[in-house]
Amino acid sequence: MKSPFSSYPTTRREFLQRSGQGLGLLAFSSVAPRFLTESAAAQAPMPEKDRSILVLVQLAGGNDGLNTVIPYQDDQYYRLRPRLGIKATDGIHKLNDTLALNPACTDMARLYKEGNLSIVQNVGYPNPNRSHFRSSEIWETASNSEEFLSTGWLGRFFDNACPGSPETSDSPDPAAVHISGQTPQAFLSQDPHNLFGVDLRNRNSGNTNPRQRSLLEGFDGGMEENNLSFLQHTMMDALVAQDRIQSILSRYRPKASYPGNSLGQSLRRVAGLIAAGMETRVYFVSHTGYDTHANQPGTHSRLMRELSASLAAFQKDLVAHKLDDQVLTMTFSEFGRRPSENASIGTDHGTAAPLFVMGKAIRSPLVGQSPDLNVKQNQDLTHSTDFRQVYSTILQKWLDTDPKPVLGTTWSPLPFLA
Amino acid sequence: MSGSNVSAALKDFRPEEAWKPLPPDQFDNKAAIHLLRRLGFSARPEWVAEVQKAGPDKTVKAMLQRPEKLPLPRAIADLNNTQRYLQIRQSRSPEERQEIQRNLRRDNLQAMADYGVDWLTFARDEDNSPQEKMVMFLQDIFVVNLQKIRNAEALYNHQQLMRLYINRPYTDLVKAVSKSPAMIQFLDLNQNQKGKPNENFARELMELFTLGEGNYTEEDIKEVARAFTGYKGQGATFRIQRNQVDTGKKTIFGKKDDFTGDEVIDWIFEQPAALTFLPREFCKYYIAEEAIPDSYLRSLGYKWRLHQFRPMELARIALSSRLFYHPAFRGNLIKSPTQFYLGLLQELRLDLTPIPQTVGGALRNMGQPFYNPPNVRGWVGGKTWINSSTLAARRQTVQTLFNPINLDRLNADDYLAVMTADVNGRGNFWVTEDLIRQLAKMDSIQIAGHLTEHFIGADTPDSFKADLITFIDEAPSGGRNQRVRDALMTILQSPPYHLC
Repeated sequence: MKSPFSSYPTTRREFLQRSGQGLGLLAFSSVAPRFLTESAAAQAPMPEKDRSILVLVQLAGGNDGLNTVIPYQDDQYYRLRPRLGIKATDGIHKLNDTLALNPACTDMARLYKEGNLSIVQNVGYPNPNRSHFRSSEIWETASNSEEFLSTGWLGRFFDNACPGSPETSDSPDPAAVHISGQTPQAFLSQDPHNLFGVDLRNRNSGNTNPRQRSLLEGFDGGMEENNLSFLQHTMMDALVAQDRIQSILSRYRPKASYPGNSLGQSLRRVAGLIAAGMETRVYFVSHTGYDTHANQPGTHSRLMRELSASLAAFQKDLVAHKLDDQVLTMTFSEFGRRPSENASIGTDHGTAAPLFVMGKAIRSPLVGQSPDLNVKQNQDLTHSTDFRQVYSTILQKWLDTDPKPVLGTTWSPLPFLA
Repeated sequence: MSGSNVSAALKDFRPEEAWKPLPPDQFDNKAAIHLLRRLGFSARPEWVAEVQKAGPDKTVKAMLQRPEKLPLPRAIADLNNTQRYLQIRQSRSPEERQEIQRNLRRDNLQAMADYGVDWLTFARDEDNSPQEKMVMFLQDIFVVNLQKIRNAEALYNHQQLMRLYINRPYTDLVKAVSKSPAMIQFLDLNQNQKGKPNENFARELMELFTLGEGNYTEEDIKEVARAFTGYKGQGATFRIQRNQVDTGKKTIFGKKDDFTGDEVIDWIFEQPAALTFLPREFCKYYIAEEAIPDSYLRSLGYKWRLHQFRPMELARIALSSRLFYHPAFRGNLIKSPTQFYLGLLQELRLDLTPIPQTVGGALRNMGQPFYNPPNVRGWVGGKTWINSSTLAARRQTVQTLFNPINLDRLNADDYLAVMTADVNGRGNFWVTEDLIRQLAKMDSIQIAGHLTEHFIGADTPDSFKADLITFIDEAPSGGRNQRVRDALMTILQSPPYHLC
């Protein structure tokens, strides 16, 4: 669609080039977005573009770890799950003499064998909480079970690693992008950072109507620097990011075929934004439906197939764009499920579970101890790796940041990254 | 330069004139709307004429002099904390003890979520909005949060104090807060013993509640701390432990006496800085983000002192004043997320959706999670409410109010809460197609006039209205209702709507 706003610059470089040609800042609007005026005035150097990128995949609802990474030689597993247990003859993908991936995880098994996927086993935290809401909060804020933090672990990473607020930042690109309805708690920070949410259903697209756009920009509050013009600037920064992101996404031609489910479509968008050279360092996508209290087999099998195919398509796309050495992808879920199946052919909220880390940088495919299944009926697993060890490893070895100020205490790193 | 608005406005008044009542003939329709938006969360159209007739003085009095109590939320009444503390003490094994503690924490947290819904529903009621905004203001001074205080009953009682003391002397409120178990735990007053003082409370008493930084010495803090020894707050109960009380002589602000805690608070209030402290906080919250000079605050403080330092009287004097109605102070305050949310519901005539996750999540994303300010200073407010993320969350909140609730996705508790609200006549949770159809019956010029006047203000520039008219007129065929709906939504998302 042609609108007066399609002439917005979509990259900072493009903008600087154009203004160099004499187009001028104010050609775009009566009030230029703050980042444009300030960065142009300061003639800031281009930020480096080849920084590492983290993609978080949330498996919302509590993924059943035992039916994801299956201990197919353990009699205890089949004792606890007479109906739900997945048998060696069901087409499982054996990883070694004791463990196998869910039959629906064909692509992930291949990535594992190729050394691009690592499984961190039995991840959790002490005094586990079984509420979806609270346990997600614990994971996203990286708190202790009894501790309430108002900032997320990635928010604190931005606070520590990206000094300055959006007003002083010289990049039009958001620090973090989420493709989910709400801002992830993991992104909440002390200082303001430019965060952006992409709506998968694309409901915001109506705003590209030029008239609606100018309504959203409001009106000039007069000559003086007042709150109305401050709101206007902030809104315009957000709208510019939105224009840029929508323009990138509409032009993106992936080099892999993504499945049509919401996770696949979310990751397709993430790949598009990364391929466009956005300076965003963290992406967050969500895959929902893991709360399998009843009739689990069909649902869980579908979820595993979607997860596996989507991750594989994403990785393939990154490889084809030669971006795979720049991106690390990690899954997490608020908890695993109880080892004992329930009476409705499902599983109830549990504790520890495995998670996946994917990328070219992966070193060790299998990390940590398998869970001890010698548990009583309806007893829960005891975690052997703390989720903050995973965060700490990623912060230090992938995001090049000292984990201590982000996580508060020191956690021993894990060997999935060199 | 920021601050230029305020300094320009102040040129029009000398300090002693600024707080004189606005002449009645200047209290017009726009001024009445200004008062209602600042006093509560929005200007209810039916009230404007009445308020204009009554004048600001009577209006503030009517809204604040007899605050309504917030009924104890059922979730908190059902907690049975005291019984469970007893069980913890009687537990036979560490495991049993941990199990009870875990459940206790979980249930208190759940009760806080339900309390949040109860409070927001209460505050959304226009009759209660002014007093609840004042409660928010006072809570932002006497900060405690659920991050540290896990006892829902203690937190509820603490908030109720703010309400009960709106029209009683501020000194009495400070005394009550010094005995509030939530505050005692929040500022470690339990650890304050004779011979082993903990200065946390004493410091914040003077820095954050009464005088402000720089108006006391470290020596004063030490001596003040001694006067609050023996104050104990366990769970939701206060008591004084006699054998820990330091009854000796203390020297505070140059006076040597055997001060009790209450006597210290009275003595603090005879210090000059006490005259300007609450007025300064009040002006920042209700009038302008930028600082108003001390000479003006002192003049307001003198007037306030004549009325026993009652917060209601401070509001009455300030919100009836010439200064408050100066053009520089109109429509230039950024709404807090709570005001934005509750004001939206009021202006759209909607009820609060009684689902803890929905409302809790919206407030959290906009930057003001219920009863959980980030630290002892509370929320800073003003420009810090706004960044691209919180602005997106505000836009998202507007969108949510234009879409039906998906009943299939609710759990049993939430479903029941929604159904109960509906049965009780509080079931208008979203903007219906019907309302849009009504609106769409008007022509685009009328719609633009109606929407801008109602949601932004009578002095909306013509260019903005023209954009609105064109936007509606350019609707694709068959899509006019949808366009009107989008127009309404866009206005509620646009910059001027975030101001009051």
